[in-house]
Amino acid sequence: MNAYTTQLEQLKSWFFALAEKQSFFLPKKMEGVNYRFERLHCVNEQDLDLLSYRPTILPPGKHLFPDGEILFTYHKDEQGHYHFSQGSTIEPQIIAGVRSCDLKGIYLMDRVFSDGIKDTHYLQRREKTDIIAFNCLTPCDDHCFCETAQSLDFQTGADIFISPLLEKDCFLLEVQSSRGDELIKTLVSDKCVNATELKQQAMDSRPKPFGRQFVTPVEQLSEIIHHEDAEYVYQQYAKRCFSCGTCNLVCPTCYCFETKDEFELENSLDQAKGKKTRHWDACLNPGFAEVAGGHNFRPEAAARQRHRVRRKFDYLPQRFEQTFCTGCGRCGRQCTTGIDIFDIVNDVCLSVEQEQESEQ
Amino acid sequence: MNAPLDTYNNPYIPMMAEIELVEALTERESLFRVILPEPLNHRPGQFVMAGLPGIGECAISISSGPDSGRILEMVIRKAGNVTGVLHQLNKKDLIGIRGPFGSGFNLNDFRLSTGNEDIVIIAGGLGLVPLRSLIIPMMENKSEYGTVHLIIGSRTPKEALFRSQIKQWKQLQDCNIIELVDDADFQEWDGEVGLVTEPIHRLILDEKKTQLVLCGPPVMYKFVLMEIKMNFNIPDEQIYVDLERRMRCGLGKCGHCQINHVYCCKEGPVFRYSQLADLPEALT
Amino acid sequence: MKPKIAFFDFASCEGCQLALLNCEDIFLDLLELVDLVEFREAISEKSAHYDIAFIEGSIHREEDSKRLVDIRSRSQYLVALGACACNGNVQARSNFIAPAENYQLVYGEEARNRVQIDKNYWPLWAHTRVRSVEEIVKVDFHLRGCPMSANEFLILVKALLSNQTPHFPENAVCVECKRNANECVFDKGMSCLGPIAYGGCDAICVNNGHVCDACRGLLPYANVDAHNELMLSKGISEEAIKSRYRLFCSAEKMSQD
Repeated sequence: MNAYTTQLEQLKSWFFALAEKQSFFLPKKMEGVNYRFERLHCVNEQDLDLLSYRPTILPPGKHLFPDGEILFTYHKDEQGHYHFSQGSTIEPQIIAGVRSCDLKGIYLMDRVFSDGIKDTHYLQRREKTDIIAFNCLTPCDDHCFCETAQSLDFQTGADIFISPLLEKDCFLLEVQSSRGDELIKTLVSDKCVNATELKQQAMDSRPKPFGRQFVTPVEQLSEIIHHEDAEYVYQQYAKRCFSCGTCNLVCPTCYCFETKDEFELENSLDQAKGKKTRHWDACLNPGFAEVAGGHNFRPEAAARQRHRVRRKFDYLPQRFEQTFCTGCGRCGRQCTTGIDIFDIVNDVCLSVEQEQESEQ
Repeated sequence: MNAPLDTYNNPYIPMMAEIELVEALTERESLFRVILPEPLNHRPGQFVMAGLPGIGECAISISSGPDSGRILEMVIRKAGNVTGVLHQLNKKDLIGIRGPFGSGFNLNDFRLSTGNEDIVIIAGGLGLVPLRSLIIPMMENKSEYGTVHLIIGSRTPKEALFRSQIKQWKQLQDCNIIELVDDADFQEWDGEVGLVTEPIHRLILDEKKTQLVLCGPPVMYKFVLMEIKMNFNIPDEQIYVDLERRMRCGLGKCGHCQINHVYCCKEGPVFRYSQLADLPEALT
Repeated sequence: MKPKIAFFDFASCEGCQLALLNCEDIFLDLLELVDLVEFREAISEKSAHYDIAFIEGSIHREEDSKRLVDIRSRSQYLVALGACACNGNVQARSNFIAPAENYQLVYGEEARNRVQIDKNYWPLWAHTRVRSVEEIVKVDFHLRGCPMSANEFLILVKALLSNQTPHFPENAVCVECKRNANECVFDKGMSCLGPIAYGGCDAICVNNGHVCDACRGLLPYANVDAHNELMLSKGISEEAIKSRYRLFCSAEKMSQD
C-alpha cells in the first residue's frame, strides 16, 4: 500500500481536476446547517470543509441505490411478445469526503446486495464507483457515536483514504486499490515513508472518549436487544413518533424498498411499453407490513420502532456478523421529535440492569 | 464501459408464461394453469411472483406438484389491484412469472423411509392452495407415505376448493380426509360443519412419528396449535406452518416480508414450529 | 364505447382543473381515450351516466348537497379532486365562526343587519357548516392537495381506465422530503406540518424553499399531540399552532373539537 502526503491547496486542485473528467460528488453546505453530497462543477464553487462538515442529510451510499432506480423497461411487439431491457445505463462516479461511518455503511450494503440472489443493479453501480474517504479527528457533533458503534477507524472499501495530519493543512493519503493508484496519478504529492507514525500522531490527538458511548459494550448489545422485550421503552418513544420514516430514509444501512410498475399512456391502454422502478421505503411507515386484503402485521408504532432497532442490532448482525448501526447519528439528528436510536439502545440496556437489580 | 447488464442476471425480469387454462373455482378464486418457457423445478410450498409488466406483481403460492415440469398451477384470489387485473386474463394470454422463491417442504421429511407413520395436513380456506403442492406428490406415490390425515376447512360450501380432486384422494388407501365448512349456509354439503379445530382431538396418531402441516388465515394458527398441543405431544420440529406476508422482491432484500430476523420470502414461507419460538412476530 | 368522465365544481377556485389543463401533453393523450362531459373549464354537455365523476370544491348549501347526491347516483367512481373537496380547504375556517359574525367580517355590519332582516337573503348565508365531499357521499378516491397533483391524477385515471385499483401510499411529507434530500424545514429555523400531513405532492413546497401547511390534510395516524409539543418547543404560541392546523384541514374531524 502506497502512502503520500500533500497540502490542502494541492488536494483541492486535484479534486477539481478529477471533477472535470467525471461525476465527482462532495459534501456541500446548504442554506441552513446541513450538507448534501452534490456534484462538483467548477473551481472555487464550494469550500472544502471536509474536516468539520456535519454528516450529510442522506448518506453517500444512496448514490449506489438511487430512489426511483429503473429495474427494467419493457415493450411488447406486434405479436404480443415482451422484450425487456436493463433500463438505465450506469455512469462511473467518484464520491469523495466519505466518512468512516458512511464507508462502513457502504461496506455493509455491499454485503447485503451480494448475499444470496445478487442485486445486479446495486453491484454494477458499486463497481463503477470510486470512493475517497476521510478520517475523523474530532466527533462531527453531539449526535455522533461512531466510536462506540465501532466504525470510527473503518477503512475497508475506500480506494483512497485521507487522514488530516497534525501539521496544518497537511494530509496523508493511503492508496488502497489499483483504482486508487490510477486516481492519485494527477495529485501533486510526496511519497510518504513514515505514514503509520504520522497517522498515529494525528489519531492520538483525538478526544477520549470520542463522541457518545453506549452504556453497554457493543458486543453485548445484540444479545440484550434480542432477548429484552423492553416493551415499555419502545412505547415511550413511540408516543412521540410521527411514523414518518425519516430515521429509515436517512440511515446508511436502511435499504428496504418498494417497487412500482407503470406503463406509458401513448394514446392507448394496452400497456405496450413501461418500466419497473424501485423506491426507498421505510419500516416506520404504518403501511409497510400491510398485505393485500388489509391485514397489517406491524400496526403499532412501538412494534415498528422495535423492528428498526432490532434490525440494526440483532436481525442483520445475526446474518452478517456486524452491527448495522454505524453511529453516524443521522436518525437522531434529523428526527423532528428527537428520537435517537442511541438513546433507545441505552434505555433498553438500562431497563435490563434495573430489572436485574430488582431481582437481586 | 456502459454496456447493459446481462438481462439474464437481472433478478427482477420475469419470464413470460402462456396461460393454458383459467377456471373459476369460486366467486373470488380462479385456477390458472400456465406453460412456462422452462421447468420451474420447485419444491412443495414454494411460491412465485406472478404479474404483468406495467401493472405489478404479487406473491402466489405454487399449487401444482413438484414434478409438473413446465406446467405451473396457481390459485389466484381477487384481493387487490394486481390480482384483479390477473383475473381479467384469458387462455393464450401471457403472464409474468419469477421464481420459485422460498424454502418450501422437503418431501423426505414425510416419507415412511425416514421413520414417519402419520402425516396431518390442516388447511383453512386458501391455505389448501399451497398445501396442494405437498399433497399431490404424496397422493401420487401413496405407498411411500404413511397415513395422510387431511382436515380441510372452508367458510361455506361455495368456497370449498378442489372438491373433485379431494374425492379422488379419498379413494386412496390410508387416507383420512375430513372436510368442513364454518356454515353450510343452506347449500348442499356432504362434509362436516364446524371449525378445523374440532376434528383434531379425534385423530389417532403415532405422535413421535407424526409430521403436521398447517396453513390458513392468520387468525387460525393460534387456535389450531392450541388444540394440537392440548391433545398430542408432537415435537415442535415436526410441526410446520406456512405463513403469509407481503412479499415484494422475492430475494430477501426489500424488507416487506420480514418476520423478526427472517425473510418470509427467503427462509419461509414454510417454518417449523420450533423456529417460531425465536420469531414472536410470526403468529401475530 | 369510450368511458365517460366528468368534472363538477362546487365551492372552489377551479384551480385544480386549471392545473390539469396546464399539463397539455397528458391531457391531450387522455382526451383520445375518454369522453369528457360537463367540464366547465373546457366544454359543456350533459350526460346521464359517468364512469368517473370528479368533484371539485367544498359543499356549502343544501342544494349543493342534493346535486352531489344526484351525481353520486349516476357515477361508477366518484373522486374528490383537490383540497376543497377532500378536506374543506381554507373556506372551511368559517366553520369556527358564527354565520352572522362571518358575514359581518366580510361585508360589514350594515350588510349583516340588512340580510338578517330581509328573508330573501337568508338562504345565501344561512349555511352552518362547510363540508367535504366525503361528509355527504361515498368517495372512492381522493386526489389531495391545493392544487391536486397532475401526476396523481394521471396515475388514477390510467389505473381506472385499465381496470386497476389505484393505490396512494399514506405516508408523511417527510418521506418525499428525504427522497429529495431536502434540508428539514425545522433545521432552517421555520416550522412545518409535514410530519403529520399526507404526502404524495413530492414535497413540492419544501423543494421550493417553503414550508408544508398540510394542504393534503392530516394523516389518519397523525400524531398531533407530539406535533403540537414540537411546535410549542420552537416557541410558537398555542393560538398560532391552532390557526396553522386549521388553515387547510378545518373540515377534518380532528380539529372540529
